[in-house]
Amino acid sequence: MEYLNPQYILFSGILLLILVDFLRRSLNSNKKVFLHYITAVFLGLALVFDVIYGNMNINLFSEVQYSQFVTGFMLFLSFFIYLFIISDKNEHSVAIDISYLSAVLGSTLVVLSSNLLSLFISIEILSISTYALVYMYKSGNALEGAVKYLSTGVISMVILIFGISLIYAGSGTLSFSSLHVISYLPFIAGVAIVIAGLGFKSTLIPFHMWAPDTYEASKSSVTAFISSVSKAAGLIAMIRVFFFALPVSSLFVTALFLSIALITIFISSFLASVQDRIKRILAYSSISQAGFAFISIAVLTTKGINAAVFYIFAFAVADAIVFLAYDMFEGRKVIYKKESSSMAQVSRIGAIAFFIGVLSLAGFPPTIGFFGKLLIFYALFSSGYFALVILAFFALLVSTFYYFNILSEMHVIDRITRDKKQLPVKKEQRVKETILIILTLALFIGVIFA
Amino acid sequence: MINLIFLLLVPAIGILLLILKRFYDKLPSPEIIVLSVMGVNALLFALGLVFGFSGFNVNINPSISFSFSLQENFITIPFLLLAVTVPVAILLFAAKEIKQSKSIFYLFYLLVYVSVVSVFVSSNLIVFFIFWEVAVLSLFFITGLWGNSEKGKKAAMKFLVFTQFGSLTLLAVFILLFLYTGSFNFSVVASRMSFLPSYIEYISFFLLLITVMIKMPIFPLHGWLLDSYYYSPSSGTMLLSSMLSKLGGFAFILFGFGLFRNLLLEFRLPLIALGVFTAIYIAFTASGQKDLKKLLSYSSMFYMSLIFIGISSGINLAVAGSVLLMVSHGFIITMLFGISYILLQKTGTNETERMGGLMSKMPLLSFFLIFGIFASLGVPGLSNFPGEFLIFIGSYGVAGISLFAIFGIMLSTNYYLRVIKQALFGQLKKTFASLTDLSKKELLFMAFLSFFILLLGLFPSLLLNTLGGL
Repeated sequence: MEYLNPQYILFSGILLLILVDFLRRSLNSNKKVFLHYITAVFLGLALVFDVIYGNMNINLFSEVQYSQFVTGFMLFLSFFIYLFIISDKNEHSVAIDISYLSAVLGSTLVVLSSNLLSLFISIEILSISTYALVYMYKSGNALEGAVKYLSTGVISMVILIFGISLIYAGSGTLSFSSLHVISYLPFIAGVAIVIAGLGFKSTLIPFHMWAPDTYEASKSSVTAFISSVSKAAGLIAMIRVFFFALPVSSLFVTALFLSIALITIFISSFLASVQDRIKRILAYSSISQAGFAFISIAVLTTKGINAAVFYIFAFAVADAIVFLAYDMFEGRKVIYKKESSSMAQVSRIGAIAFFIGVLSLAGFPPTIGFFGKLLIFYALFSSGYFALVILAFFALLVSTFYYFNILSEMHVIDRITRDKKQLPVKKEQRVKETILIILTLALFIGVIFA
Repeated sequence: MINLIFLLLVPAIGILLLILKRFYDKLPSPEIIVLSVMGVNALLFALGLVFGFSGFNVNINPSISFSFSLQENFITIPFLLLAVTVPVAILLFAAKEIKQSKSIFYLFYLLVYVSVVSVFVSSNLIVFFIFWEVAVLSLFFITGLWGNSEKGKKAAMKFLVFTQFGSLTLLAVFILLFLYTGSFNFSVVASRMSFLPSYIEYISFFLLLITVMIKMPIFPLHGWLLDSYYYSPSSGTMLLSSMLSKLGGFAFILFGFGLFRNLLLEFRLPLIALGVFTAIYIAFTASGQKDLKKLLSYSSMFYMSLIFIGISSGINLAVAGSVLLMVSHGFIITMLFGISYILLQKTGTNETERMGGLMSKMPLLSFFLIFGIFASLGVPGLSNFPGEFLIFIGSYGVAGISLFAIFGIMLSTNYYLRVIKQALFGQLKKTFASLTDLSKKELLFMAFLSFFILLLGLFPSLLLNTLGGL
């Protein structure tokens, strides 16, 4: 039974795809649609097996208390994002399937890693396949985005492995369970460098430079994956390393973490409010969400970690929704903030889903974004950081401002009844809308996991 | 027994019908749906008054003590009376004013309605907060989309950012309460208030004060008031002044007076002084206004500061007076804003100086304007009188300074009488020769509100008797 773990399923899916593609090489690309379906089936199977059997438990990877939940929501999101991606029937390259599956595999492995080396390898699998995914849709400046992502990503990986080697020098082991005995200096240096390495993946300021450009350059449905599942993996890796592996609460670490988190929240909020293009606003808002999740990790208490895990889930779902919905609008040239009033013409359901997703990002009840923020503030209060919460309130006000700038321009509500005219609807748009409806429902039902 | 969930279910069905109306055109018009929803709800409320209300409880997530629970508390009934009756009047008025995207407007309208009702009956703090926010959001969209086409959006944004800060501080209070009492349930929190260390109590009380002072609003935090009152559509202004600002007073009584009573008593002198200062300051500000709608916005804030004085005195009598004044002010300010809108429609101006002699052409409207102004000035027999009276009696006992607020009432007498003089008396301008009086619908609107103003003025004991816990 333990071989029915989601990670094995995903891996065998990758192997099967390579094999089938090799055997059917002669077919032209239109006849390769079935490969997409195989991929979707494997993703779905992985989700089902995660719910039923949990995760694998071997030497370098071990199951932790929340791994089933985190893997579950990652697979859930990846499954629907993938359906969304393949509903655009323009290109059928098996490379998309393989890199997507390996990206998902990498991000689910991050959750389970119990050794710094396996963590590094999982992140590397995830990164390499997302570089490919960004470049796969050769639209506009996808190359620029991919190259930026690749170059910063490679540097961050080097930094990460350097930090890991420092930690190894200090402790003589890489296994999470035996990292407690460690001399001080290499440890501090290692932590500082590891946070730089992981910060790239989870877009914390000042390691965020690639994010807005890459988010903007890649196709929005791919951005949805990068900003939700992939970023969730980065943040979970932080939790694994800093809470489970190196359980120290030195003043230096706390101060460093809290300052990074606050800087991330504030700078990204202010940068988002001066942007003109919707996708850039969303990109910066996604950075600020990572900051909120990190502020909860930074307090390094069990409450904080629980809040962070739930908040990562909350913003991942909401980010996936807004980017997927924006994918539909982007195709009809809704680029700037003032053009957002035509969103409802493209797709009403898409506009409503976008609306609710943004509400959740802004933390308005009754969506799970609100409950995530509630838990984070609870964790901060129970550790006694009163001033921090008040500071976070101000950042939230700024974010309310820019989110509602989009929403009030958008007239979703207004247009729904007034404009009977609508652009022609294709069949695949119905599929996309169904996906968005399912994800939006998750925004409300998710509260049971809090 | 009437279960409180029905008061929420009926509007929820209404919202559903409004959404379905997009797909089935055969459904009746949105006004009819909303009116019938409110009628049914008012009937349920009346039945509940006779047979009593019963609570409702569903657990959703026990680990954060989130349960959808509704329960009466010691001040629910008067506020429910306000919440189920005033929107009916506003509806009669909005039916005339709102011309575009009707079904969406009424969707928001019902959302405000249901969320205000739910705030008044909810006994779980998360449920309280959720509906508190829904009300703010709906008003944001009403102001932004149906308000003044140039300034409406900015005013809405200002409103949202201000009140959102207030909501966040309220959320902080709730989280602090949860941290030390382990529950979001109001009755459990109330019974475990002794668990709070004193510094936490101070922090929460001041955070709560920020919320209340933004929401009501009180002096330094009233910056959003004028813009959002002035640039909203008139029905939005009515909702803001008659329902939303009352949420602030409600929260102040429920938490400030109910939970943090010791601190309230400790700080009552500075708070009363702040209220008195706000009252006089705002009365002066209002005196300088030429625009009727601006004047009414400021006068609405003036009465909220009287209410603030009453509650912060911490005397049962004065708090009861504040509840009465809040309910009656809800009726009166709705009526006055309605009249100001009708005057704007008919004369084309909001400035009272440019009107004049309207009495001869519009006797009915003039009657109701004078009636509303007298009610608002606290003429005995009309509904503001018992409230103001109780507030001053109660607060005088603890702080003589509160009597200075009477000076504010004198000032408001001055500017209200100026309105009457300039708008109604004098020479009729030639441009107004073809003015017509109130239509039947408007008459109904006025009569409906006047009925309650008279009823509460003549029999304040009807409401006072329901305030059992005070």
